[in-house]
This record gives sequence, structure tokens and C-alpha cells, in this order.
Amino acid sequence: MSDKKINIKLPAEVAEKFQVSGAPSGRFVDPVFGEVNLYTITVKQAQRLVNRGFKYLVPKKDKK
Amino acid sequence: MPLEDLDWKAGQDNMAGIIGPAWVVPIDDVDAPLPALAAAGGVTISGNIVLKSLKKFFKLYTTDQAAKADYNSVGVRDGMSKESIIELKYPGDDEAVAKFEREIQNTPLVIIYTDGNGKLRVMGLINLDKSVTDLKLRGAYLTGGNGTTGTANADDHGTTFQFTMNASHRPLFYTGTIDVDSAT
Repeated sequence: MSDKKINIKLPAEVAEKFQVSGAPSGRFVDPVFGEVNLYTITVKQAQRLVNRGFKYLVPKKDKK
Repeated sequence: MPLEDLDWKAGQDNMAGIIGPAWVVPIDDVDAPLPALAAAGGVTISGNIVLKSLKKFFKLYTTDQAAKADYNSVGVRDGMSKESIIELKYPGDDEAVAKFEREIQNTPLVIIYTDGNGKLRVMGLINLDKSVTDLKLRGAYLTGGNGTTGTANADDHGTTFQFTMNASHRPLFYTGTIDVDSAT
């Protein structure tokens, strides 16, 4: 069975707003969204993906 | 899965050819557990093909309008199955091509390509028993790598890679992701 560890570090400004959820790896080709690179993704790209239903990034709750 | 109507809707898209690139990985780099069919008797894989740590799918660039898949029936009555063959044209003859070809020849592979309808198809993962959803690794093999330099400037210059898979079915449909990350 797999002992593969997935440790994906988002860019700092993206990590403030989003967290990775169940992504298969840090870089992958998604059949709907094309090539996704979670190591270099921008906040704008992340927001666009999430708005379109991308399931591997989840917005963090605002701490107020 | 019971038999269903095979109808045709007017105006349906039906573009020929394969859209590049294709993605290639040795079956030894595929991790357990394998994904499964979405339903017994179906032809669509549910879930992702997961690779071992630090392994990734490798891109095989393909010249547009120069790639195809053939799905041939083989065998005799009561013994029919499918032999699926894809041909992908790579436009070059340099060290990278020579090295790539040498690494993949005689190596069972999982190959993912995009058909003309935009669907991902998988060679190298097969279902042996349509009453269950289990998949097995039975790699597709390089069965041709004919290259040419051409003669005159107007001639072709490149390599046509041919891969062949044997199964009871055509290459399965895939809706999962393609891991291209060698860092995880």
C-alpha cells in the first residue's frame, strides 16, 4: 500500500486565503481545468479555480 | 451493466484524431491502490491514477493533425477481444527523442491521451471481468518508433510512436488527474 506523503506548499499569499484539500500532487493536469501548479499559483488563479468548482483548494475562513 | 440503446443525436460533435500531448509512465511507477471502474460493466474509471513517491507522468508532445487511435477487433468467434493502437507524431530527431524512445521501448506503460471529443482515454489499465469494477495493470507497449530525416526540405522529419494495448475493451475513459509532479 502507498506510503506516499503529499506535502504541497502554496505560495504565501495564496496560503493566507486557501488551503489544499486532497490534491493528488502539487502539479497535475486536470481534465477540466488543464495544468495546475499549486507551487506557483496566484491568488487570482486560485480564486478563479475555486469559483469554477475546483475541489482541491478550499477557501480559509476569515478570522475576524 | 445491461445493454443500452446506441443512438445518434443530430448535431453531435464527432471530431477525428487525437489531441496532443499524450502522457506516459511505466507501470512500475503506478502506486496501489489502483482506481476502479465507476460501475461493473462500465468503461469509465472512477478516481485518480496515483503514482509512487517522486514519480510522474511524462509529456509526449504530438504534432496536431498527426495522431490517431485505431480500435481493432481481434480473435475468432467466442474469442473476440480488442487490440488498440495509437500513433503519435513527434516532430524531431535529437538526443531527447533518442533517449525517450530507448527508455520506453520494452517497457510496459500507462498512457493517457485525449480523443477528438476531449475525453481522456487510458491505455495500460484494463478490466478483466465485467462483473466487477477492479482494474489491473497490463501495460501498453511501444510497437513502433519509425523516424525519418526526410530527403528534401519539403519532406517530413520526425518520429511516429506507435503504442499497442490488448484488452477485452477499448482504452477506458478517464476523468481523473494526471500527476506531473516529481517532487511528491
